[in-house]
Amino acid sequence: MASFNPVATRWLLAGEWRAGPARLAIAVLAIAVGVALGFAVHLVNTAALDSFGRAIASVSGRADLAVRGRTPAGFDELLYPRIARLPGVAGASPVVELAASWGQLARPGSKARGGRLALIGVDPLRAMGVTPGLVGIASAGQSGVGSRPGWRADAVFLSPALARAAGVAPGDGFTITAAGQQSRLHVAGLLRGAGDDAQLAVIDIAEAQARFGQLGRLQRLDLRLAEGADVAAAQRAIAAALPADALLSAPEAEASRADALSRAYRVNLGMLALVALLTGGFLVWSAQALSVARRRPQFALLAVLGLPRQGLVVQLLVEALLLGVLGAALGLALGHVLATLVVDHFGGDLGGGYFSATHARLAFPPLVALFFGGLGLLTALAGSIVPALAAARQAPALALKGLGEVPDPARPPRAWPGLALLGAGVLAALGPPIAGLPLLGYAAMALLLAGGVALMPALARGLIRPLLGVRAVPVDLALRRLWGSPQAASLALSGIVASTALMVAMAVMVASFRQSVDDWLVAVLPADLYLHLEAAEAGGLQPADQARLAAVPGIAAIRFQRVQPVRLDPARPALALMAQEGAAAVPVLSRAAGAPPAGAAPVIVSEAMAWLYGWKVGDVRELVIGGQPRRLFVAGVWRDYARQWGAVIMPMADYRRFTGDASATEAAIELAAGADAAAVQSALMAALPAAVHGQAQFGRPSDMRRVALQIFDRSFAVTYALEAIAILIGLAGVATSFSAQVLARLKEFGMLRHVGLARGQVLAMLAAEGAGLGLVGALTGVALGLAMALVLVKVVNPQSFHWTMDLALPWPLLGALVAALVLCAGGTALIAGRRALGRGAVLAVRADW
Amino acid sequence: MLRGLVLLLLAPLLVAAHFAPVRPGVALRFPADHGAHPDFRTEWWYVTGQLDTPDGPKGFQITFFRTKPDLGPDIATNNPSRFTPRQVIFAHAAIADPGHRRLRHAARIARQGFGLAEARVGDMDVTLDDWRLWRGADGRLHARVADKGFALDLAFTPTQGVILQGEGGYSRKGPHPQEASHYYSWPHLAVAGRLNGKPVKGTAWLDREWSSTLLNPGAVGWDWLGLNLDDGGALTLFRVRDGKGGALWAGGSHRDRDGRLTVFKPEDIRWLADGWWQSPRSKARWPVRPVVHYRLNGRWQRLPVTPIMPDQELDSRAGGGPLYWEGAVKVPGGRGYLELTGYGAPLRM
Repeated sequence: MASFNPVATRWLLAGEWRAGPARLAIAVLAIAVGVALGFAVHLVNTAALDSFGRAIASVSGRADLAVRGRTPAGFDELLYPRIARLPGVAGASPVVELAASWGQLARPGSKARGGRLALIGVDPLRAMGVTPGLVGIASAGQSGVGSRPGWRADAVFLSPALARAAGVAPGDGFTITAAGQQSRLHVAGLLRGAGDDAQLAVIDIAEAQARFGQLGRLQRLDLRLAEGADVAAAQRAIAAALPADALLSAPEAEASRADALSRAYRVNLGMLALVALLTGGFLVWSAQALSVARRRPQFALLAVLGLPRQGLVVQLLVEALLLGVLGAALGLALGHVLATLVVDHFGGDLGGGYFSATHARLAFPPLVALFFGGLGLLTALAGSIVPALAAARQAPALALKGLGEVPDPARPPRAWPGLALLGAGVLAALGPPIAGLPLLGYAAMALLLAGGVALMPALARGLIRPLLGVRAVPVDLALRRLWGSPQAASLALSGIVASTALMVAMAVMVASFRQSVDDWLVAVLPADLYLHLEAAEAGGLQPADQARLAAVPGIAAIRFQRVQPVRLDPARPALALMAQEGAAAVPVLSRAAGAPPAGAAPVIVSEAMAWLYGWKVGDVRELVIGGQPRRLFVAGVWRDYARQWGAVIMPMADYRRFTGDASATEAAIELAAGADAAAVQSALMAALPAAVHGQAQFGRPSDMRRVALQIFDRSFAVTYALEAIAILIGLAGVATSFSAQVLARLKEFGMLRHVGLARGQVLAMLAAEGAGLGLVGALTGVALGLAMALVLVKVVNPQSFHWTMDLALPWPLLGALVAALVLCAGGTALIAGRRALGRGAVLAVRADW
Repeated sequence: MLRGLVLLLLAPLLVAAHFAPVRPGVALRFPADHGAHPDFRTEWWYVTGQLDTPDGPKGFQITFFRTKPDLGPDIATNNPSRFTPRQVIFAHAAIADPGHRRLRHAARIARQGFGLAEARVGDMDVTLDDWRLWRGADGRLHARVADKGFALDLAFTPTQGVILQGEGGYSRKGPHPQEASHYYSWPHLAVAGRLNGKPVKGTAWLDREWSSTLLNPGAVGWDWLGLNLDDGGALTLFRVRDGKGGALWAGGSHRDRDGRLTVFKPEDIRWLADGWWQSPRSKARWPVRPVVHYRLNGRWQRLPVTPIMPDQELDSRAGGGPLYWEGAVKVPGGRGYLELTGYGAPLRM
């Protein structure tokens, strides 16, 4: 790099630092915040996903392959010998796997101790050769298989994480509830291989079947393939031998299922971080452009002294590089600190609720750090390249006299690049999801943002034109200045426009989402009181229990529900099958016109179900329920914000006919007139079987709504924080660029004073100019933000989470935002002006031409 | 023979009332007694033999065990689950190939059930996944056993009748009368079949034993020897050792070519441990060349025993089994199998 001159660089940077340390600092900070957010989100996600993956691997015991039941009801155990005898299968370990709980599952606001766990029943002799991690080692140091102290029917082995959470040690008693049954077990030892991530308890398979109502049923068959076996052929043979209620699942599918669970949420956060980085890029551009404009004479001097034009560009890019390195380094450090804080305080899922029982561990991956740091550098360079090229183009002689290229006010600024970008943005917004992610939607947002900023000069002129001709001298001066040099205005504003647009987009999206969730909660909670059994996927209330509950005095009506996960696709998380008594109380978006065809049960599917599996209103589809594929008629589509992976509501009578399962996991209760809700609730609690007391959670619609919205707000806490940071950076950007511009215009103020303007009038002019700029920026930002919000609400959210929402505009927030920006811009201009004018503006005119 | 110790490691020593007792005077009946005796705590089918191959003699042993775990009455009877471990089947097999200089061996274990692990009552048919030992309709015995490194598919044709050990099949194992087993042997089985796919021939020996109460608490191990003699005779010798290297009990039998059976009393047997070989893996020292003396028709016979290779140690401790030495041996005028246990760490029970 022959044209690079370190002396010149040092001179330029040092001068810049003396002239405006705040501006440089803001530019560095903008980069740093973008890098920090991106890096932190990535770190936290990776940590959470790793820990979630480890937990899954612990529970599934790391078998080569597994046959799984489609539902918690599992499959007939006689499948086990059939699969075990297939060629290529070297080992088959039958497993009973149940959702279970211990203690009192926490209700909102209660301090009761308890938790969910996976209860696994294995034959240790079989598991030893397939999933040795699931074989407990008794604390005496011997295998738990028939060794001393001999067979103990009630022996249970706990994962270390579960033993710690429950505060039990080998030798203690431990009570577990699963499938509506409760059993007191004896902790015989720990599962050393289970790691710190799984809440896992292992008992003997015969005991699991007998104690928890699973006689004749298995939920899983863990398989080991023979060495050198043709894996594909073995998989085909196994798949061919499976009944309808079982499916073959390779570890990759399990991993992808775990990944899919939170993928959209993670990508969304990552994208937000990138948008923040983009905002940082605009701030860098704004800062660099201003500083280039201010230093025209310096550059000219350098050019006259012999620095080639190309060298000037290199100088400026080196400057940007330094800013970028500083920002990236700061950002990485900040990101790591932020991630640590988030993991410690919110848990690994950033409040998203995906990985409830896991404990995330943070790492510092150098490659990823390099990636995000590089992104920061790139942003800094990209933000500097345009101003650098502009600086290199100018004529040194003119610039030396302070007469840099001033745009001709008569020539209107070009609008087509901005319009082209906006058009591309609209096109991208109409695109389909890529790999199940709304990548084009995000591209659309970036294009809209870039287009909006590029359109700023033309837009500013258009907005100001009708105001020209105002009689008050200071305002007229201010408006004419803005109209005459819209480029300068857009420079000052690009940062604030970008951050305002981002904030408006997020605020509108969150407001729309929240409003839709609130409406939805009202619609799905029409009863007076709700009962939910947590961790009861394998079964909860038996008919006798249901009759006892229904007989509780003070109840006008009670409707039971059975909710059960069903696996349709091994690589996707299970969907929820909800069998309901009575008419479904859900907000239905569309209904089938005709009646169900003969032999098909009518069901209502959630938007996610329709999106993921293509179930359309009026379709007849098959779903394995009760061991056989059943014909279901899609009678309607309903909106569901609770189950991202799909839900199917079917009449309870059909479910019972299909499965013979008469149990229930939920109930909606309507109170008789004048009945006291609290009294009825305690009477219901007393009527519940003792086994499920720890799992029972009662809720009243108002409380449930409050809790749901609290959870909603908590999961968007990160988003709120992101918004606040973006807006603060934007405001700081406005403040620094204003003071820079004011300082650059000292001579102009001196001239105005000379021609007779009072000091107050100059200040008023500046304030009006600032406020006008602020207004233009705010309005543009809001308009742009609304467009981006539309993309978020109509494209990004449906494509990520497979649900729709109604647009809701938070007008007070938007109004306050505009007012704050106008005030802030005007005020900053005023303060900068006072400082500048105090330093003898009149003297400035005397400066040598 | 006394492989029951393997299973004693898997089950408590306390005598539980719900196991069938071993009593003298119970006549053995065939083919029923070829089959399983599920009421007894433990039982085994133990086939050993030597195969003649172009590369010289090779030893093999195939053992199936059945054990009734000491579940306690509540579990065994009350739990209707098919997975309830009412019986556990365990098997191991080993090939002694002097060319390989150490054993190739493999093991299987499973709860009885689902047709995957079964021990039939009424005739010999024991299955454990892909391993099986059974008596065919033609009266021949068959074994099919394969794992990484070896595959055995053998048929055994009886050339003589079974030997009822002890008093008509009631075989004492210790100073107390209940320390005993039901025990018969089937020597001089003519072997034909395939080893690793290649046809082989040879001679084999079947040991069948079932018991609920076997060993004296003072026992630390045992030595056992079963020999097919070239003249058509069969010699069985065993002793149960105490902690001081002496014999707590000893026994065995000699049947000559004409079927005359002599049952030995403890004082008819002297077993001199000799020819010590130290295992480079376990560091245990084994008397792999013992010299045995037995008194037949009032005359003491001396028989030096030579293994076909010194390293026939089998370490099944990783799978919960014992460390033992079990190998093919030669004597002047005969060949068979020798088993040694309790020489590494004393067998803890």
